[in-house]
Amino acid sequence: MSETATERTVADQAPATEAPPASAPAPTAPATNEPSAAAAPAAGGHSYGASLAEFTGEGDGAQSAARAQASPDAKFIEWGDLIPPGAAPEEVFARFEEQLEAVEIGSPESSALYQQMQAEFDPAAVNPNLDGQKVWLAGFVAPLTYDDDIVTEFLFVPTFGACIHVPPPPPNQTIMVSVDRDDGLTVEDSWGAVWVEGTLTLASTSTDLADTSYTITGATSGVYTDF
Amino acid sequence: MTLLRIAFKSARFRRTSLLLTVVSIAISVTLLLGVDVVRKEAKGSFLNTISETDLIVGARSGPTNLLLYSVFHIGNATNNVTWDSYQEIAGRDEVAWTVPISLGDSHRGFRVMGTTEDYFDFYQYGNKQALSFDKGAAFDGVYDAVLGSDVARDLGYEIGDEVILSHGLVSVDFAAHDDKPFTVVGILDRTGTPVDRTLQVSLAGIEAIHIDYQGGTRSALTLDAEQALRFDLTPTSITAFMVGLENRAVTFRLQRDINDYAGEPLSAIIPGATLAEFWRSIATIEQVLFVLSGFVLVAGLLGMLTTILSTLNERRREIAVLRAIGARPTSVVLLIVLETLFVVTAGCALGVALLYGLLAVSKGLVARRFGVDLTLSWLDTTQGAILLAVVLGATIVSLIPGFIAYRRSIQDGLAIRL
Repeated sequence: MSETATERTVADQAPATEAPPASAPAPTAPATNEPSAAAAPAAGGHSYGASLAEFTGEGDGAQSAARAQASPDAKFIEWGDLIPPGAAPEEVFARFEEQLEAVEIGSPESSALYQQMQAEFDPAAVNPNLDGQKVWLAGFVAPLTYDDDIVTEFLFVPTFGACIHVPPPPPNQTIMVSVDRDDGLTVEDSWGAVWVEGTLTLASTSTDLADTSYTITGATSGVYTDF
Repeated sequence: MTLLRIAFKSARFRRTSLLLTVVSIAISVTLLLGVDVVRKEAKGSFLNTISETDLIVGARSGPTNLLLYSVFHIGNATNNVTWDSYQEIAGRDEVAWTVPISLGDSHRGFRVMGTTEDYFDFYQYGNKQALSFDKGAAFDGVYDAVLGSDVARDLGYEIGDEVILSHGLVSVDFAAHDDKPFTVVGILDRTGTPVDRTLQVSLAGIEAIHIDYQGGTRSALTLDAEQALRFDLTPTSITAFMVGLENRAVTFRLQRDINDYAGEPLSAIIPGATLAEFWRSIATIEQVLFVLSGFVLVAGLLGMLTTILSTLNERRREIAVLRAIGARPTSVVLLIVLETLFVVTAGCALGVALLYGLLAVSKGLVARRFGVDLTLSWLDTTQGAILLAVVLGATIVSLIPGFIAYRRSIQDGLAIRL
């Protein structure tokens, strides 16, 4: 597997880079050690909406240390990898940038363009290349089911807390995880950052809204400790 | 081996004071383990109250408040949800099922909950366990009631009995809906959740008993049970409702949508996440309890130290004799340590026995009063660690009198000094 993945943006890194063509192979390789914009670890507690990068003080050391928690055959992915190639907001914008400059803002043509962009920016779109892959990633937990005090089912998301001030993570940034009781998290574990490893599958439902979403069944999980 | 026998025989002569020490250690151990058991049971029982429900929706309020009144029936709702809003949200594509809840009445101290038959199909607790009927079946008619197991047991109700609900939440019937009695048609199996202490009736039933209760008190126009049935018994509002989703990946989005609902101020919570959040806020109390019982143990160990130190005076001649017939100084220290080990092991054993005894005796009472089901299980690793820590702590503490006895045995002769 190639480590030199196509240049791309990770969900919590602001600068937009040139978008790969939509037909390009999925950038499934882990992000190379790019220095994070928000590197300050939230010492002693964390605030609502803190991203994983802020929480962990993600950097060169953190990533390689985090790898130690993953089993060797698991693919180390990040939340940005869950967005299908070409569908990240920055990439959609980059594709339309020239056309947008050509039209006058407020004109009927620009409205048509906006709608076209909106159609391409689909928060429910999933990355088909990840289906069936064994992955490892870190994030936060919204517990759903308990067996005694062990969390056995949870929604796995990239940001901490209930996100009152910003819209919640879209379906393609939410993974439905179920774990065996023995591999589960205690309720205390679920208060902080955790890692999850397992086979990512695309589950589809019959509803019109949110056709497909990510699921990891029979996952292993633990407290993310690389701060 | 000889040393062990000597230590044992010597201890027999001081059995009263040593027995008291055993009891004081036993009480500390019981307290320490008891706090741990209750803490774990309360936590498990609390976290397992609801499962498989993706969202709970009620009038705008804090997440904890909404969770407490809708699921635990503790406290009261800030407001109601209109039937229209409920219908609108229930009709959304991403919603698989909904169960409405209407609270506010009681029966002899137990809460009454108006709901639909769907409640018995969709409400789940523990690790995805559904409700099941001990006797009878779900309600069908307007004046049918389904009882939680504690309600049936405590009030001695059977299928076919009549129950009269009272308006409001007090057990004294100042405002009884006595003109419209309900009939018990089902009794649920025990769940260990607040369901056990609840009477379930249909939403139409709740409407019917309040039809002549407009304006906050009984109105001049009274309608009997038969007459009430002729009215449209569709409620205008409910207290809260549970939502199950087609696809859990949209949980956050629907939650956000409901929180931003333009029709009226509503709150939606993810029960599991709110349970975790609430437990986090009360975890401090849990730790304080644990620290307090730790102090009780320290006090118990200090008491043991005092007793052994005071018996050293009685044992001066005994130890001097032992030294005179050739006991090594280390044997003297070991003698004291062995005695402590007797005491502390007996204390731990008695403490564990006391704990199980207390649990067995208080099981029923605790379940009834606090809704916490105490299960008698073997000691787990934490509790094992606690016991080990007690024994080790006592052994270390006993080195103090041991050392003093060793020092004295050299200074003291066989002669009696007065």
